[in-house]
Amino acid sequence: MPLLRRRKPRKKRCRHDSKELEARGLELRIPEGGELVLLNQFLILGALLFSLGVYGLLVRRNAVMVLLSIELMLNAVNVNLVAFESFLRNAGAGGQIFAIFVITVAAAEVGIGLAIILLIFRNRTSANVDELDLMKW
Amino acid sequence: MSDWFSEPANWVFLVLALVIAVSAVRVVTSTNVVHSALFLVLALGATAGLFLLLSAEFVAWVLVLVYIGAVIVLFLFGIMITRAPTGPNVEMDHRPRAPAAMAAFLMFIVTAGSGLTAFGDQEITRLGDGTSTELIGEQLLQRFVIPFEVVSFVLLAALIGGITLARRDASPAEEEATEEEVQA
Repeated sequence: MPLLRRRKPRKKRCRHDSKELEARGLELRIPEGGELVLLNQFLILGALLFSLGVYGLLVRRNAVMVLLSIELMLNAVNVNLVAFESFLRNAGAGGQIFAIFVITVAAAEVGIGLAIILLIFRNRTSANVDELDLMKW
Repeated sequence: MSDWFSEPANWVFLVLALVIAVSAVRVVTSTNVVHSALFLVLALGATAGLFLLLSAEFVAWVLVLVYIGAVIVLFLFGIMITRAPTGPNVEMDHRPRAPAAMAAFLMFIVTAGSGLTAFGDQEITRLGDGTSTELIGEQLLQRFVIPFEVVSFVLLAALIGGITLARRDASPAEEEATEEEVQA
C-alpha cells in the first residue's frame, strides 16, 4: 500500500499537531500504524516466549514435550527477527528470510527429533528423558 | 502511556500477545500431552497474526502452512505412536520445578532487560509498509542464495535421515530369508 509508505520517522510532535487540527475541526490523515508501536513490546514478548520454552525444556519429562518447548523457543526467535525487520529501515528482506530459514530448520529438526524419539521408544518402551540414563556414571 | 493506548495497532498487539502468553504457559504446564500440542497451535496462530500486524504476510502464511499444517500433525503423530501418557494423574514434570523456573526467570530478566536498556522507547515506523513477497523472492535468490541452498540441503538430509532412522530394520533371520528368496 503506497499510501502508507513513509521514509522518515515520525516525530511525536505530529500527535499534538493532529490534536490541534482536530480542535480546529480539521482532520489530519495519519496512516494507520507506525506511531508509538514500540520495538520493545515485541522484544519482551519474544523474551517471555523464550523463557517459557526454557522452563518447559528443563522441567518436562516426556521427550515429545521437550521438542514442543524447543518449538516455543524457535518461535520467540521468529518474533524477534520479524520485529527487527520492521524496525530497521534498510534491512532489505533479511529478517523475514531468516525467519523462513528458522521455520525450515525447525521442521527438519522436528522430523529428525521425532524419528530419534521413536527409536528410543522402540528400544526402551518409554520416551521419558529421565529414564535414558544408560551413559550416566 | 495514554498515547500508547490510543494506537489501534497496540490493542491488536495486546490481544494477540495475551493469547500467545496464556497458550505458551499452557503448553509448558498442561498435564495432557495432546492439549499441550493444541495450545502450541493457538500460540503459533496468534504469532502469525502478529506477523500480519507487522505486515510480514509471507512469513505469517508460511508459519501457518508449515507449523500448523505439518509440524503439529507430526507432533500429534509422535505423541500417539509413542503412546505418551495422557491420563490426569501422570507425573509430567521433573521435581522440583523451582530451579527450572528460576533459570527461566533469570533468562527473561536478562533478555528483556537488555532489550529495554538497548532500545528504550524506539518506535517501529514501518508498520504499514512491509517487505513485499516479491522482494523476499528476489533477495532469497540473489543475496541469500547460498544459505537458501544450504537450507535445502539440510531439508534433504533430514528427509533421508528421518526415513533411515524410523525404518524398522529386518532382523538377521528375516534378512537371510529374503536373501534365500532372492537367490531362489
